[in-house]
Amino acid sequence: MAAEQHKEPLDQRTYAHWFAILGVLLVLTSLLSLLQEFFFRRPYKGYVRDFRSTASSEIARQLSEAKALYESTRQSPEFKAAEAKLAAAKEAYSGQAVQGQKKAFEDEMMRAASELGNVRKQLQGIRGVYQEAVYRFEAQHEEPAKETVLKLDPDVDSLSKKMIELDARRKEFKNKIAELALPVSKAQEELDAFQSEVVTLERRLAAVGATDDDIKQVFNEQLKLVDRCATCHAGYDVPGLEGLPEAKRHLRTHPKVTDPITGESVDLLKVHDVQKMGCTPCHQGQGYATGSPEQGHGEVHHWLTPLLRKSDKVVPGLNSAACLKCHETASTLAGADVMLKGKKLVKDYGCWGCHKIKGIGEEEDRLGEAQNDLKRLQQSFAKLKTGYETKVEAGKQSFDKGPTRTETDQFNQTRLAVEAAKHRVDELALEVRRIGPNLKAVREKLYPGWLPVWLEYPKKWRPTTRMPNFFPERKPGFYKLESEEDIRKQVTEEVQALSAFVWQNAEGQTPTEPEHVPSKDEIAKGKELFESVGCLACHRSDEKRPVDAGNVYGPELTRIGEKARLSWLAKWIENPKKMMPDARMPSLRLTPEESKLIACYLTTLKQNDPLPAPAWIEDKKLAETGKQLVERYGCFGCHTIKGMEYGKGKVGTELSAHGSKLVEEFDFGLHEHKMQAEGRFTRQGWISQKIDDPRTYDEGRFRKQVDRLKMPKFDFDKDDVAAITTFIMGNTGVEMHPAYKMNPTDRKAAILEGWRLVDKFNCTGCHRINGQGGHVLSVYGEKPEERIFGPPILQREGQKVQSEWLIEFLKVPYQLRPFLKIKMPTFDMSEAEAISLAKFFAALDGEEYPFHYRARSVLSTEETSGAKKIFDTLQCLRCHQAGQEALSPEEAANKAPDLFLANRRLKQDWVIRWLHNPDALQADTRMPNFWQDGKSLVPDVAGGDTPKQIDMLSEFVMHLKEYGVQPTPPSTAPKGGDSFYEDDEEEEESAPKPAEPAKPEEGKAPAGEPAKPAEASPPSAPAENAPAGTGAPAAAEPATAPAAAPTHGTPPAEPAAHPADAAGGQPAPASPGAPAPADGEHGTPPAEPVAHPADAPPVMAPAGPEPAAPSTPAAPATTAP
Amino acid sequence: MHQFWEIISKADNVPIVIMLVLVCFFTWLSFREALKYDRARAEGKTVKQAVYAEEAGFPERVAVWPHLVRQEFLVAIGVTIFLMLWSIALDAPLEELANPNVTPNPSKAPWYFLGLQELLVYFDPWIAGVMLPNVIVVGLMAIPYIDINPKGSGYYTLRERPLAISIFLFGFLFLWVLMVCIGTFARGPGWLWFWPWQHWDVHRVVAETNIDFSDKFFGVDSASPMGFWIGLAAVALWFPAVMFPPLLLPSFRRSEFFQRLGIVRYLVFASLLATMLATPVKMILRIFLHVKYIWVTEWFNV
Repeated sequence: MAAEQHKEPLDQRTYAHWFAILGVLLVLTSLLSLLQEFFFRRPYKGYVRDFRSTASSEIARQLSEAKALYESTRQSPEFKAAEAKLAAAKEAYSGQAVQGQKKAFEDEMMRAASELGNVRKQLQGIRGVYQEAVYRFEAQHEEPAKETVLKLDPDVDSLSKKMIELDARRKEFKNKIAELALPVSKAQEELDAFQSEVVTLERRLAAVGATDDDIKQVFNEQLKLVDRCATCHAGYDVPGLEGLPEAKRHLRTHPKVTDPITGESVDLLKVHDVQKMGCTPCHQGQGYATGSPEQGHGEVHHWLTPLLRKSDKVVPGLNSAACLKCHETASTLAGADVMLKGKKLVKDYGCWGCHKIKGIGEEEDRLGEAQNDLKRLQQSFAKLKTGYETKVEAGKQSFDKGPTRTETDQFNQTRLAVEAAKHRVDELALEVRRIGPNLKAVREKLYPGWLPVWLEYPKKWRPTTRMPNFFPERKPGFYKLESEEDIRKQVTEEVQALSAFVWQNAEGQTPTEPEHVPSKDEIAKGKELFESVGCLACHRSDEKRPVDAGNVYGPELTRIGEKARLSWLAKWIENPKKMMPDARMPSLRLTPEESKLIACYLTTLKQNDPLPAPAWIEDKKLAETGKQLVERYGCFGCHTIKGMEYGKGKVGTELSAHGSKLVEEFDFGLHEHKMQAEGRFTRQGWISQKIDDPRTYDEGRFRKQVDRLKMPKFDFDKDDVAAITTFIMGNTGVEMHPAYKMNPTDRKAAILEGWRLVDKFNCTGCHRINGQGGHVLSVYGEKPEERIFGPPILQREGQKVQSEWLIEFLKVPYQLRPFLKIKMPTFDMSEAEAISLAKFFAALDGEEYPFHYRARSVLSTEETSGAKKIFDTLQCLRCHQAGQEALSPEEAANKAPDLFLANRRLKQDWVIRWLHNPDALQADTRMPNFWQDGKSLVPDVAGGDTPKQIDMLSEFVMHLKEYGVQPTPPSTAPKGGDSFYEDDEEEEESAPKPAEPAKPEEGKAPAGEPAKPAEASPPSAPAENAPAGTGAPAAAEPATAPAAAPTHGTPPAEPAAHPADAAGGQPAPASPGAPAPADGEHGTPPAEPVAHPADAPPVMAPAGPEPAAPSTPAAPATTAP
Repeated sequence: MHQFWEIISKADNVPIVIMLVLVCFFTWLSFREALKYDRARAEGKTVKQAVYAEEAGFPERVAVWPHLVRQEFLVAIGVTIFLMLWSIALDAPLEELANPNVTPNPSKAPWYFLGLQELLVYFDPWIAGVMLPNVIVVGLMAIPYIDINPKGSGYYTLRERPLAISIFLFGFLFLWVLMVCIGTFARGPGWLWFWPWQHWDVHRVVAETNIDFSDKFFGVDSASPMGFWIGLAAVALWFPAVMFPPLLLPSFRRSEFFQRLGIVRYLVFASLLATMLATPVKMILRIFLHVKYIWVTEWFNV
């Protein structure tokens, strides 16, 4: 200011214009700040205003529709009737009679009320005096007070009583008055119901219009949350706003999700109370921010838990990640499909072999802990033992020198503890399953030429394998300074080194003898066995068969002949657990011969011949390198390798807290900028890229081989990558407040644990449990009469079987249904697992566990004979096995389960329901319905009373031995020449049924029962009563050994029982006989039905049980798979 | 340039930018006035004439009230308006909940301490954080007692106060403002040197091996007794090396300046000056010769 030429001296200048300008500017600036304060800086107010107008217009629209609907209903007869009803009620109410009554009641009520008032006044008067007297008497022991008390006491009592009575009376009349008006109010309600919709909408409209501008907040101290999301998302709890347009989607009602099992729609907000839990536990985001959507969603630099968006560009479906921290054990959860799919993938693909993840693959850890405990206990016991034994010895000399009682107790307790620990270790060892095969036996198992082919790229050799690719393709220069040749060389070296190590490190000897060359016959038989005994539930052997959830459990066997030796396969199939305790394959209790046959068949599954052993396979130096590589890659995480069974840890990072790992802590390599530009510089961006191609983050870096990333590539598709990422994002490592976690009740916990085990053992590969799974049934066909030959459908198993029996059965299965060729495997599960499964079935059906008490009502003599009569009339033992007698295959094909098992196995309540209506309980059953329409076939027992008869019969059946029915001794040899045709309706007609010669008849007939085959007619009358062609009833021409019979001549047990055939005619409901397709049987891969020409096919199609016409004399028939 | 824009638009750094502008402006302004005065004086005007050059006829003094006060008031209004607009435009960086596991990189002090934080690169924390700030404060307090030049009071001049002005400008502009600016604009993750337009790469790796003085020049380990003495010698010899030469010149000893100053004041002044000059010297040694510490002791390093 000093430098310029001023016109005037300092003390004569005017600054008025400056004041003016600056003053105005100041006022304007102040106004601006006010505007900012009230309008611009409160964006949420804008959102609320928007909500009011949008929601109001939407609801108004709905309201007008509802009104129009209401108007039209007003014309409807129902409405008019309701109106009339109301008018009538009103009229009745206003009529003399009612009004008179009302008046009377009112009078009574008033009278009572006024009396009450009087009494109360009186009481008030006396009571004070009384209480004072009491005080004086008690505390100050005044005599006069005592008199007063005694005098007043009765009065006080009676007055109080009277008061109570009067009050009750008053109330009574009041109620009576209200009752009088009841019809009117009811009628009014009914009328109002017609416009309930309109009223609701009107109220809603008013409420929406009255939403205020302020911040809406949920505060929860336990969860440390302050959620203000509802301020802008004002429509989340207003029903009916689901249809708002895309631009206003933030105002929509909170969507519902679908329950995956029942298909019902679930309102999540009902289950998770927003007023308690807020929004952020499920959606994450920055709950307390209201400055802008970005801030509120936590999509700002420093917020560590941004919104989990369902429509996340990188990982669609990410929102279900948050479900995990409360629903840790869920296997199905409405709305959480993506996350649970990821969890299942992580389980199935064995990620837990290299990465520690909470809740997955922890069996080994538990086993390790138990082993440590055992070691510790054994050590302390050893110490204790020597001291104790010395004392015992000394005690033999002199009593005083012996051990004290405490010492003895301690010794015994420790001994028992060691026993218990050992048992626990053994049990836990049964539970461990590794995801990959055991590599200890490769010398005996493999053709070594296969190893390098496999190791280089497993999926190329077997597309459905779970083993990832350790040598994914790299372009030259992926690692700086690496050329194509370098890559090639490195891969080959590593593959060879690994192969050499695996080969040389294995136990056992390479077989020197050449492998058995299977004959055509063996192959055919093996194929038949393979396809019938249950292998198909877990394995695929035919590329044309589609992949389903069950048959990927075990490895695909389409090229197994190139890989494994026959000798080893035979041993393996016979008892996998013996060879590899941690294998997932169960034992099917096959004989060595059967195993060999199957092995013969399997060796024919190949594209080329097995490769010869490479020259370098025994190179020691290569093996040394291979060992280091194995240590590096962590193969022991998935495979059991000699010398590396335990204590090796996991080579990958622990993933239990990856969901909250800071983005800056992830190593993006040189892709940081690129991913930032793509918006993938986030946790989920890093994780999804890693899962998709794990070694991407090495690209362009100059690294030595030992420093390079080693996670292999799994070739997941986009959806799988998204699912796994979502699951990992759910693992935040933050422990949710226990009060908010899903703590399943016993029943629910049992169900969850059960599903986990069902998954573990692939039960659903065979069985359809409560509608889920049963994948192998597709092999048998869709029709019930085909499906019955597949694994039984487990519907309401908990209601059906006794838990104790189930536990035993699961531990040691045996054949229950003679007509099934498919076998229930022996899983060698631990006791705890068997118990969990039994609990699971019980819990599914809401049954008590473990005991199901039912009072027994023993039958009187009369009832017993009645029950026996029913039993004989219905010919139960014609179809049901009676005792564990051996059966020929033909017999077995039509035999129902052993009735003597019922006592231990079944629940009587279920037996009763079953007898009432078998079809209702098991859709595919061949058991006839003997009490159709409630009518009994034995009218003279118990007066034909169906429930009573069934009751008696069930009691009888459950305790057969007590009531004098004896089982067939198991030594009964099957007779040859038996053939059973199902003849159902045709029974009356002279079905040239195979009779059984009289001998076999008593063999399988209801032993010890004066079997009344003659009474067969009654049962056969109703169409359904086509018992499986068990020994032709006497009605059938016994001795007419039809052409078929003789052919059965010699080889008794060969032909694989043709359950198919027999079953052919046994459709549960109506069409007997029709189904049995003359072709293959019921959907089973039609093996060449060697229908014997000599067979007289029974009347209906049912391919009569081809009683064996073996193509070769001694070989078993090759029919019906 | 993106990085540069990011730095200067960061709400924390906007005042620094403003400060830079203002510092440049006021330095220029004061220089202009000083030169004007010096020119006037060279033409032979008196002090008074030179100061109130064009204002002949203007009163020498005017009353504070209202003349100064109203000017101040107007400026106050202006500043208020400026501050209100600034605060509306730039929000205070109130960030999200702090994560104790995450330290920001770079972690920068408030701007008024950035100069000292920069000094930490060159000096031991004891020196940079305690000694030097104390010396600065003490030195500033000492100025009235050692500045015996009565000229330049109430007006700008260069010729009449060359020493004071040059020392001050050196200390203020170079050792303070420049350090602040370096700390703001040129220090990135890891407190590494980033030119303002260079992207702040958190993964950058720079090899910086610095060796102690005795090790580098004498091959003696600085932690050994010999190294201790060498370091001590270097530090101890610096001060006489700076302070004594003028005293050895008879012409200086006889000068009026020294006569008036006196030996005590001179020593105070010279020691302060020596300390001040040591700073850039150490910085140069560090940057160009990779010298870490001159003198290493158990308790502090220089």
